[in-house]
Amino acid sequence: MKKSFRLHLFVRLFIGIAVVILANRIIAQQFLGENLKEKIKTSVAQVLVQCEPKSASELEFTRCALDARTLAYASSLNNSVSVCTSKFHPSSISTKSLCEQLRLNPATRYTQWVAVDHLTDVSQKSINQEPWLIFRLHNNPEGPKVLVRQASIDTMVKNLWALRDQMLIYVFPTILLMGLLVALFLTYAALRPVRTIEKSLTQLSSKNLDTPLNLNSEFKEFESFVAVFEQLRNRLAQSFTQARRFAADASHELRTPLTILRGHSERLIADLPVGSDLQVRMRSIGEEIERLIAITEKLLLLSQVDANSIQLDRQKLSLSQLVEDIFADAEMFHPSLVIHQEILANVNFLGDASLISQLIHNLYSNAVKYNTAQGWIKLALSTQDNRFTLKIENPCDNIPADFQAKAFDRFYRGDTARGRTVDGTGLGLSICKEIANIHQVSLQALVTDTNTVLMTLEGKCLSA
Amino acid sequence: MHGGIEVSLCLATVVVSNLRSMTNPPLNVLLIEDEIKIAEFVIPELTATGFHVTHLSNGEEGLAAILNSAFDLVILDVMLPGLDGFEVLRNARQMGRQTPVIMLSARSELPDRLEGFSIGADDYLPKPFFVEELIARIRAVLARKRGDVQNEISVSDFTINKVSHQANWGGFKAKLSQREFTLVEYLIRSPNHIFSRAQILKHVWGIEFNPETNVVDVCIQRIRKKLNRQTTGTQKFPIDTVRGVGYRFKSDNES
Repeated sequence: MKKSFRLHLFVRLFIGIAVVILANRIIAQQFLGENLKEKIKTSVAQVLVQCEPKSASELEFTRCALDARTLAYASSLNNSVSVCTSKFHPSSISTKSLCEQLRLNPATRYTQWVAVDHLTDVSQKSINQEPWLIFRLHNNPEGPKVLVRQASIDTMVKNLWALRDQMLIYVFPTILLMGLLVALFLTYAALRPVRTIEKSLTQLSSKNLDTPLNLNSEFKEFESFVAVFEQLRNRLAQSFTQARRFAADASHELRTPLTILRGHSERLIADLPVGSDLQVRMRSIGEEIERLIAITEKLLLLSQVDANSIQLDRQKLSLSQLVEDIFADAEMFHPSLVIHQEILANVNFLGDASLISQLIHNLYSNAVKYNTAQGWIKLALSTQDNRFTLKIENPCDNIPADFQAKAFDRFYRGDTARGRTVDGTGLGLSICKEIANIHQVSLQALVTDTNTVLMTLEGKCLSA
Repeated sequence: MHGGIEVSLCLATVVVSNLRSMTNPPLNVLLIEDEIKIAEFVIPELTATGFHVTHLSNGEEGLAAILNSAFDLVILDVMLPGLDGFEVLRNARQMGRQTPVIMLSARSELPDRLEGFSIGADDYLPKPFFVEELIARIRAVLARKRGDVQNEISVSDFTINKVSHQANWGGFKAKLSQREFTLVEYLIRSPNHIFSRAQILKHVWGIEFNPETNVVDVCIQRIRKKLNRQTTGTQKFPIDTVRGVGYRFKSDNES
C-alpha cells in the first residue's frame, strides 16, 4: 500500500500549524506579556495625569481616580488601585494605612523612579510585604500618587492568557478542518499540472512515438519536467526506428543469401544421379540450409515483435479444429505416447492463422520432445464466460529448477546437458510467448506437484 | 498419282506439325531480379520446364520491357535498384498492361503482401522460396488467366481430381484422405523433383519436428494399397522413395 500524498501533506500542514501556534504562544507569553504590563502602567499613569487638576480638592481627586474605570486597562484593576493625595488623606481605610506607610517611609526608601511617559514616573515599593507600583507626576513629585498592586497586574495578564487558551480549544477543530481543506486544495492544485501532463503522455503509444509531444504546461516551473519527457520520447522513438530498420534490413540481407543457398542446393540435388552418395550428402547440406532458414525466420519474427512492427492477418480460426487435427495425427506420429483429449467443439478465435498454428504446434512439439519414455500428453480445450482455455500437459524427467521462471526466455534450453539429444533452438517457447502477447492471450508454464509440465493458454473467444 | 497423294500427305503432316508447334509456342516469361545469383538457379529451371526467359536487373528496364513487348508472365522482385517492384507494377497497370505478375520479395510481411495485391499482382511469393513452388504458381496463374478451371492434374497415367480427391492410376480408382491427397498433389505438381521428408512433413502435416514413426512412408504405402493395382516390372507405382534424399513422383520419361 502506497502512502497517500494528501495525508502526507495534511500531517505536515498540521504539524506546521501546531508549531506556529505553539511558537506564537511562547513568544506572546514572553514579549507580549511585558508589553501588556507596560500598557497597563501607562494606563494607570494616565489616571494620575487626568485627575491631577482636581488634586486641590482631595474628594474630587479621589472620585476622579476611582472613576478610572473609564480608562482602558485600569478599569479592570479597579479594586487594586488606590490613591494617595498630597495631604495623605486616604480614600478608604485600607488605603489609609497604605498612604500612612508611604508617608512614613521617606523618599529614599523608594526604588528608582522610572519614567512611564513624559508626564509620570513609576516606582516599585514593598508595602505590607506586597510589591506595589507607585505612580507620581514628574513635575509634582510630592503631589498625589496612584498605587497599584503588582500582583493584580500579573493576575490580569494571567487571566488574559487563560481566556486565550480557552478559546483555542474551541478554535482547534476549526483549525483542523481548515488544515484538511488546505491540504486537499494544495494537493489538487499542485498535482493538476502534473495530471495534464500525464493525460498527454498516456496517449503516447508505439504507433505515434514519432510525433513530438507538444506538451505544454502553463507553469514555468514544469518546463524542465516536460522537457525530460520530450527527450525520453525522442530516445524511445529512435530506438524503435532502429529496431524496425534492423528488422527490415536484416530480413533482406539474410533472406537473399538463404534463397540463393536453397536454390542452388535444390538444383544440385536434382542434377546429381538419383540415389547416389553425392546426392545423399547434398541432401544433408540442404537440410542444414532449411534449418538455417527456419531459425532465421524465427529470429526475424522476434525482431519484428521487438520493433513493434508486426501486423496481424486476423481471421476467424477454429481452435477446436486445430487441436483436433493435432490429436488425429498424434497417434500416428508417436505410437509410444498416450494422448488424452478433452476438446470442446466450436471454440473460435480471431487471430493470425499462421502464427496461432505455429504457437499451438510449438507447444505440442515441446510436449513431445520433453516427454518421458512411454509417457503421455493431455490436450484440453474448454471455454468459460466467453474465454477459452487450452491446456497441454506432459510428464517430464529432470525438470530444471528455473523452468517456471525462465521457460519463455530466448534461447533457454533447460538442462544444458540435454543439449544435442533434443533437437531445437530454444526459441520455440519465446516465440509462443510473443505470439500470445500480440494476440492479447495469456500463456503460462507451470511445473505441477506430480512433476508434469502444464502449459496454459487463455484468451477471449470469438463468439460464433 | 500415288506419288502426288504421298507428297501432299507429307506436306499436310508437315503443315499440321508446324501448326501444332505454333499453337504451343514456349511461353515468354520476363524475370526482373537484381540478384544475379538468384537468377542463376531460377532461369535454368524455368527454361527446363519449357519457358523462354528474359532477364533484366533493374526497374526502369523492366518497366520498359513490359510496356514495349508482349510477355505471358512477369516475375517481379520488389527490392530493385532505382524503381522498385511496386512502382514498376503500378506504372504497368496504369498504362493498361494486364500481363500476369508474380512478385518475389524478402519483405513478406502482411502490409507488403497487401500492397502488392492491391496494386494488381496476381501472386506474391516470399523469399526464400523453392523454385518448384514458383513454377507451380506460374502454372496456376497462367491457368487462371486462361480461364482454365483445372480440377485435374495428370502425369502419365496417374490423375487426381482436386474436388473429389479421387485418384486414378490407369483405371484403378480410389478416394484419398485429405493428407493423402495433399501429399500426392505436392509431389505430382513437380514431377521427378525429389522432395525431402522434412519438406513433405511441413507441407502436408504442417509440422517442423521429426515424428517417431516414418509417417511419410506409411502414408505412401496406404495410397498404394488403396489403389490396389498389380504392378509388373515396367509399371511401378509412380511415387518413388530415394533413400537418404526423399520422395518423388516419377513420370514415364524419367529413369
